[in-house]
Amino acid sequence: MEGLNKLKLLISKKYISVVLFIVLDIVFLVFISFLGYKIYGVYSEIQTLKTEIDQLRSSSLLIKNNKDLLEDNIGEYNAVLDSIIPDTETYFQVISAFEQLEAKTGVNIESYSINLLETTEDKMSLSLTITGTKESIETLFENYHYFGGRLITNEKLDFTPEGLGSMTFPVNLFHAATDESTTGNSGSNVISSEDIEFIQQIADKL
Amino acid sequence: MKRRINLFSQRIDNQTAKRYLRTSQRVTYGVLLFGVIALMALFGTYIYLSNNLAELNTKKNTYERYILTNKSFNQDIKNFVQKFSLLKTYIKTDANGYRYYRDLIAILEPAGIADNIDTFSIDNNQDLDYSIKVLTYEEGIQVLDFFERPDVLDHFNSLTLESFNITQNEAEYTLTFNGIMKSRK
Repeated sequence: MEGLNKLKLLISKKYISVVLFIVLDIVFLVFISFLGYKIYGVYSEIQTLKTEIDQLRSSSLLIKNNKDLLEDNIGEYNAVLDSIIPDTETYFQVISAFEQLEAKTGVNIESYSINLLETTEDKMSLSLTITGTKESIETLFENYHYFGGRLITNEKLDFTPEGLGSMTFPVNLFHAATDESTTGNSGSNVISSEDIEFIQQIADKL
Repeated sequence: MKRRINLFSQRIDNQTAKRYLRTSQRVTYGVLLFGVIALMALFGTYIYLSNNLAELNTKKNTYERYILTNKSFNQDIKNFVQKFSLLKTYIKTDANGYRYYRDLIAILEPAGIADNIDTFSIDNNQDLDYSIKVLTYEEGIQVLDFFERPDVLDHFNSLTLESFNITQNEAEYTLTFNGIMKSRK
């Protein structure tokens, strides 16, 4: 009977300490879970912040790398670029470009048709039927890129030198909306003085 | 009535209970120790990450201030870079055909056949097709000899004679070539 009482005492003492430790364990585990959750939150915030900082760094570098060369005349250069690659396209703009091309080169644009298969979201592809003197058509061939006040490209030149007075000349006109986001504007973009000279040469031809 | 006490079974129960209690105690100690270590490690990580977050926030604020100071230029430069890169992309699709035509004339000039070009076609990959008309068969052979010269072939990445035909009802021979001119972009 005495042994049994001893055992009961032992059990009650040990039992209390085990229960106490179990409670402590639970408290610790709850803390660990809470801290783990907090750490995950901070980690996620860091990742988001890193992405934001990358974009901001890119924009800052873009400013820093180009400010000296461009700051004074960037408005003028943008006006040139917006003029040759406008944000939107209208038929009036296209007709105006062709009229300007006729006036500057001396060729006659008899008619034009849209190549629907070649036309894309940012490119209008047209076939021009042109007539003129050999000299005027040569002037067109040499200066069509900017003489219309727009960027005009020709993907394939096909002609007969003897029949140069009349021919079909395929051209493309471009437009693109200004992208407000920073995507694609890498901070490593450094505009060189050759680029500026190129823009100025375009401006002289408009 | 004789009462029997099974001393062995009493002892076994006693020992089993003690053993369970001891094991439970060890397990709870172990879990507690693990908890303390894990908590310390996590707390350290939390402090490290919080400092890192604070540093990144400072960095972000610095960049934002710089961009805000140059707000107008920032918008302009983005527009410039976007349109300028588009310009460079679009201009690459241009064949610049007349320049290559003039190059071909300059190549043919030494042979005196610059005016004999009958047709000319070139695309933005410098894929070239042209034909030359001559009056006699001998002249045609001379043109072929001319195009076999290394200094002439040097202007082309490839060049082949597609056909050498006599024009019907006319005393004219037409040599049609195709190939790829060396890029000048």
